[in-house]
Amino acid sequence: MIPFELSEPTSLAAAVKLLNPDDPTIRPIAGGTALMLMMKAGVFNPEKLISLRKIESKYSSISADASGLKIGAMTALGMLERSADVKKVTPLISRTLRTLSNVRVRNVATVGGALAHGDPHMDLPPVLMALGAVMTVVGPNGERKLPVEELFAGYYETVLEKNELIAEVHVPAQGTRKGAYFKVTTGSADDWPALGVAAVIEADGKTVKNARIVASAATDKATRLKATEALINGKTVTDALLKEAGEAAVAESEFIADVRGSVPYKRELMKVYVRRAINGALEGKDGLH
Amino acid sequence: MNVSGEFTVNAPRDVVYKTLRDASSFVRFVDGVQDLKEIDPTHYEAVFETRVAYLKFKFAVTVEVTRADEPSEIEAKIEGTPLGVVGRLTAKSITKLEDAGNETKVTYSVESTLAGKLGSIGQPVLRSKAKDMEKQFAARLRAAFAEGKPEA
Ligand SMILES: Cc1cc2nc3c(=O)[nH]c(=O)nc-3n(C[C@H](O)[C@H](O)[C@H](O)COP(=O)(O)OP(=O)(O)OC[C@H]3O[C@@H](n4cnc5c(N)ncnc54)[C@H](O)[C@@H]3O)c2cc1C
Repeated sequence: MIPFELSEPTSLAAAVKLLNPDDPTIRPIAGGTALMLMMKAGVFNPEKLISLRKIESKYSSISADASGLKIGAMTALGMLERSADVKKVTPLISRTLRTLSNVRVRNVATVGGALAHGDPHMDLPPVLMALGAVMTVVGPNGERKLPVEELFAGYYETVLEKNELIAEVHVPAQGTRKGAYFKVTTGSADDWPALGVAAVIEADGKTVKNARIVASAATDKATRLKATEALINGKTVTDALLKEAGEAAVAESEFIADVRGSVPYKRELMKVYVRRAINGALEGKDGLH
Repeated sequence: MNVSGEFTVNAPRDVVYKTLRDASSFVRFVDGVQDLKEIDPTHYEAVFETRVAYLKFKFAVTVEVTRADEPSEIEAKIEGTPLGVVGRLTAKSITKLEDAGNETKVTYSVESTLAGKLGSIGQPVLRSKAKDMEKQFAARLRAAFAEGKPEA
């Protein structure tokens, strides 16, 4: 492996200062579970890594109030999984984490890393997008709010500047909204998904008041299915409407093939699982184990 | 993975063929190809580099023109070794040229595989990059013939 320098700043502000907007060989490192794979594959040879492990401890904590959750970017996914607050305020997140990789990865990988990595196969981004989560992003000129749904620009690509860091994620409480995440794997249940579909729906019985539906893994970035949402908003869900929704989702998505499935296969998965995710959310069957 | 498509170029078929068959001018149309060396009229070596976000994918490639039916078809075999890690890129391309009035219709198809450590990381990246490269290739080739003759 090529040698690199490691900095361990003790504040987020100091970490931001060490980054360079024009130098892609200087990167922040959080849990390192994704970045190390890139280094081992030889596609990333850093000059310098800025470790976020020693920044203020508030960025590794979770707090909850009536409006929702505030999750520090350095919070380990395992902590999120086991948090009583998360179970109460956004049960969909707790359930999603159980099939996200394995306990060893979850204990090291962080929320900020899961978002900034930009691999469309991740499980957390579609769920956070469906819940309407918003990040606080810190750069040299201060902070800005960025909805998770606006973060991804393409495969491994985000809209973050090279000298911006995700500081926190704010997730509105699930409240009376019903949610489901269907992780469709072609290997084991905790494998990377061939398709992920998250649906968070405000409903009155079977009548949809407001739906947020997000697809990932089958597309080159996690994407809100807005035409599908518009199709079901205000309507009472029937088998015929679910079928139409599956078809609308296929029509509005651009698919990518990978080792987990071809484009025609993923199209079929989308047709079926968008239907199941909507129905699952409404009926409290979330497709998770 | 397979990438295929077609576009038309405002030039006669024999001129388009000669331009595509001439390695030094061909390189100008493909993004990320550097250090082209002609070994003999059907064998070439080059470095191919592409970037996505902060990641860099770099291959040492060899190209063999396996069939050249002037002025209608060029078939080539491409083999690449990623620089620094174990793996292999193999690709086969077929380019067909047909008369379309005063213009030439170019139809291409590239079938490629990426094996080794880079496979699962690189394959989807190359696929999404391929879309941009295709667009650029067509645009540059068309621009070169926009005046009805290739650039000097
Ligand atoms: C064996 C294995 C299996 C896996 N399976 C799954 C799975 O089934 N589902 C799933 O969703 N994920 C899976 N993952 C991926 C895992 O979720 C990610 O690797 C992890 O979330 C990345 O977090 P990290 O803290 O380790 O990030 P790092 O590797 O430290 O960083 C990842 C990227 O984010 C950047 N970054 C990190 N923190 C910040 C920040 N605060 N602000 C800005 N940029 C930042 C880094 O510069 C880097 O580009 C798996 C990983 C492994 C190794």
